[in-house]
Amino acid sequence: MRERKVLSDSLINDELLRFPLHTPTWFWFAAGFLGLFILAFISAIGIMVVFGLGVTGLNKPVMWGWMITNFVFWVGISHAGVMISAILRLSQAEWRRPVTRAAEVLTVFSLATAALFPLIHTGRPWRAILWVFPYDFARGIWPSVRSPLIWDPSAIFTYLTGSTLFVYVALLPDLAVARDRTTGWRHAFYSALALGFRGTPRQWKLQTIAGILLSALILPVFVSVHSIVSWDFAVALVPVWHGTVFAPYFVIGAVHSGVSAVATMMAVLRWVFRLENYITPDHFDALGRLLVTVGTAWLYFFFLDVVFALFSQEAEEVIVMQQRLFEWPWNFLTVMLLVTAYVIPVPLWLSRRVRRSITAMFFTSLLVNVGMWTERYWIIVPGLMKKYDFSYSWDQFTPSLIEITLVVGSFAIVFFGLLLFAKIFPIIPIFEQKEGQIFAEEIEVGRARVPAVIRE
Amino acid sequence: MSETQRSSQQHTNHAQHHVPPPNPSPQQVTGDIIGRLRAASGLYRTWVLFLALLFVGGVGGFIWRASGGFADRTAWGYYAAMVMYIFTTFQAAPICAVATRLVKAHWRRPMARAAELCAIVGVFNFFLFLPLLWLIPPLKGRTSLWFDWPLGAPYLFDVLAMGGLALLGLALVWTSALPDFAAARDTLPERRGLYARLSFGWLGTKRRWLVHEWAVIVLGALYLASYVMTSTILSTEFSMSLVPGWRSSVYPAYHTITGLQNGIATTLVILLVLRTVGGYRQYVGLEQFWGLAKLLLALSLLWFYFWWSDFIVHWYGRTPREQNIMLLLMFGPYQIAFFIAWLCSFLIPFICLATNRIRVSVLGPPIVALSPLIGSFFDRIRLYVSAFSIEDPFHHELTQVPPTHLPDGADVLLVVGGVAGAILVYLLATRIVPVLSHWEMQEGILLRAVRPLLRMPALVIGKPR
Amino acid sequence: MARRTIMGVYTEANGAASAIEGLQKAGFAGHEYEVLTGAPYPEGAFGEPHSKHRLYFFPIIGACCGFAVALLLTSATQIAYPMVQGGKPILSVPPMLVIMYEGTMLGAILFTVLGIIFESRLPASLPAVYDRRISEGYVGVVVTAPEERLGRAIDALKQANPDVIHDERVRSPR
Repeated sequence: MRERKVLSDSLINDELLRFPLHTPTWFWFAAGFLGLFILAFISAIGIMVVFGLGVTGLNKPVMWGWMITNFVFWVGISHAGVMISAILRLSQAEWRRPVTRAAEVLTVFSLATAALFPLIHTGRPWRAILWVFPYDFARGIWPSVRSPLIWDPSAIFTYLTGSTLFVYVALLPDLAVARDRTTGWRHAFYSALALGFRGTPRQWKLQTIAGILLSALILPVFVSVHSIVSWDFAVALVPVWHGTVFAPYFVIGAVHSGVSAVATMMAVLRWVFRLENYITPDHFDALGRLLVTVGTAWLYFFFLDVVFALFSQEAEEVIVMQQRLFEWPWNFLTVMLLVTAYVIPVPLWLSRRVRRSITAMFFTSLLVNVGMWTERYWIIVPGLMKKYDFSYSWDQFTPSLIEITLVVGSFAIVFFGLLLFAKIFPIIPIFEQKEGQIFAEEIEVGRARVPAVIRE
Repeated sequence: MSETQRSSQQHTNHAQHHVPPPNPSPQQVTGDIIGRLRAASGLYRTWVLFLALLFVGGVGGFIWRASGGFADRTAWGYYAAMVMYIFTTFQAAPICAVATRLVKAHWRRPMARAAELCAIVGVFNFFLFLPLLWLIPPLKGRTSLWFDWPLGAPYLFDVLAMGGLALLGLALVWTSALPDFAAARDTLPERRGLYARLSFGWLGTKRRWLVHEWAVIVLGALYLASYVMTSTILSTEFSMSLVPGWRSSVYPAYHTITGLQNGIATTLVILLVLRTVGGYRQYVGLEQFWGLAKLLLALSLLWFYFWWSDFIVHWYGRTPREQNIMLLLMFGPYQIAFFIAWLCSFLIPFICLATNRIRVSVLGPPIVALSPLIGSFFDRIRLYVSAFSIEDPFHHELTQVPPTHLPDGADVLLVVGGVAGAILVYLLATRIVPVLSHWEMQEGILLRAVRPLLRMPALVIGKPR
Repeated sequence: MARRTIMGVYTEANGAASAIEGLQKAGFAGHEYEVLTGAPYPEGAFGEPHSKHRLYFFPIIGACCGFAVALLLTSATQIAYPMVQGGKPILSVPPMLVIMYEGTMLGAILFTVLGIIFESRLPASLPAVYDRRISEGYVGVVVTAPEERLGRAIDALKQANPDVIHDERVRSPR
């Protein structure tokens, strides 16, 4: 770490609680703007419920389109939080401090948004609960455990519950700070949530252990969630879906898009909330290094998926691959996803200058997610288009306005959620910053003073 | 003494358990690491002799096997499993050093060289690997990674992959050990000639150190990438593409992950030897065993995860092709080998290392590490012996599962001799290359301090740049 | 015997550590005093006793409960509605394992969070004396002891140059 600023506890409190405790005018404009899209999103669902799934671009062979693509995309983004937070906590990486909470909150909102999509995709969302939970004692009809569509809700429910509780537990000390610095209804609100936390050594010790223990518990869940999402596809005998590599391939893709989303979000947080003291080029440097590794691993799995589909020499696999690689628009999408998710950003991140430039990191990480959304679409739809190799009931897929609205609306929901969270709670962990100040040291090597940290 | 005084005394004692050990002096480190190159112990010589004998036995086994020719691929199954076992263990171990250097983990220092030195075994394994080339069937009419082209794709690329990895390993060890060779040149007058040549006139100028640091990182990253590619190519070439209808895209990744797991296990066992009989008790301690144990736990979970990813898709697919593949590799003729692999590579290390008392100890992790080393051996048998036992790979699907191929005398000699040869090469290499990285240890002393934090001693680690 | 709570507030962590030293010398046991900080210091930094906890039992118990419930749910639903799908056995273990895994993890996580809250002795009311400036970097040393020994505690706290000493009578023994 090169830049290390000495900040007093009260300054940290002031700066990190500025937005929760004071409301700038732009907040109302931003909330209103996002609200419009959310309204459109709700209207689209209304239209879909009233007129049926026919208003979407879905058809006979292609029964999963943009909605499921978007579902996979947001589940992928939700892997940001725990990946960053858990792995960095477990490895005691100092640079995690300002990143963890925002990443975890991104997890919560993107996962909740993702979960909406299979639900509305059913066409009759209010009935979905009857297909998922064992309830029907009268008729003796029970959900089929053998269907991966039942695994999905169990995994998402576990992950959502786990990450929400994770956010809350790590929020306790900061709620106590907010309690101590507010009066009136705000004080009552934060007091109730802080549960009387007062910062005894025992409470701090448990807070530290909780971070590690919950990380270790949520990490395996995080891996399972996207694996299960991948098995929605892989266990079916659809060409190019039935690949054994799908689970790790989806997980690493999720990590790639999730960590990129964290980089994008950190840049936005720094700009919007003026957090220059907390989110520094060092953090982007570290994220960039991590992304080089993750991106390359993703490329490896991507090639395994493509190469072994061709290796099989199965006629239907080869036909779909041929379509993906040589037919419009899939050939364009193939090039696009590779260029945006790997060829442009990863070589750029090899340069220290790019990694330390926040604008460059913002755009490159954004590019990755353009590529990753495309990749999900590229994975899901072509296989379905040529699913019936005997009857040749083949068709194309074009999204309708409803689906476009739903996808755009989903972004608005996640942004709105993040904005609302940041309005109520400190989006950067206050106590982690203070701990970082305590643990900061220096070592003298000859005449040089080298930054150092205390290791427990 | 009042009760309260006694309790505060107890607390002070308790706090003292956590006092980090002080730094050894730089001179002491040089004496311990470089000085040990002077003479070999009696125990060392005994082991070298014993392993050499086993290796000679292996050569005998090879001649016995080769006298039967290369036409019968089934007979060479155990040989292939042995080569891939050495590839999975010794050749993967340097990745421990590479990965921990990349993330600048401070605890790696006493471990890094012991792990990267395993790369030397790659050269030995390259020669063991060459006979396998005669066993690759023609490309026409079977699934393969390659197109049939005049240069003979599998032969060329397999040799390039394996040879490239061995060369990269040598380059990594030599580059990393350059400053250590220079230290030996300057401290051991009796072996000055050898080390003067090996150290290439190294002087510790600032520029040299910068280039050295960069070179070690880049060569390490290349070694890692090369290992992944080689593992992908060889696993496909010598098992998957020999079995008609076996097309699992996760298999090469599974093969690589098992390599990482066994690389860690190998390093753990080496560290235990260094600590107990190598005389490095002061340097190799809890921090290293614990650090590697955490990684081994994660990799053992990943073993299960990658295996399960493969299994669940086949189990759901249920086509006759998939059922026969599952029968061949897991639940049929090699089910005992599979069961042992599953138990030893996943269940035992997972349960043991999830237990705090075992994970956070010196003896626990290396003893547990023996389990994946055994498991992986049986795993290679179920993967390679089964694949080599398919007589006719020129089909689209496997229609008949061949019976179990059990080892004969030649196989036992070959396998034992091969593994003994690998250990022997490692032992011989430790006589020339210091088994603890002298420069990394010295750097560690500069960047580590024990200072008071209010009323407790705390370990402070420097993080340059 | 009536007990009372006082709190010395220090601008620097070092002062609080000296105060703890003084309290220990004055014969106060670990359970009689408590340090309050706005940031996590490593345990033992103030010379305070190490506290024991049983947090590690919680995830194990939770995992067992979650596993049992998931096992019951998955096996019972399959047996209660025996419909063959894709040639798979009625009681299919691999898909059951997936849900049982999630159930186990959910149980473990829920119990861990409960464990953290319970072991942190939360929810709780704030001590009888409290200083909001603790969240601004001040360090508080709270002593709860019988009235007759409090004089010694105040002396020990004063010797470490506190910013202020809060003193409040508590009605019931704590």
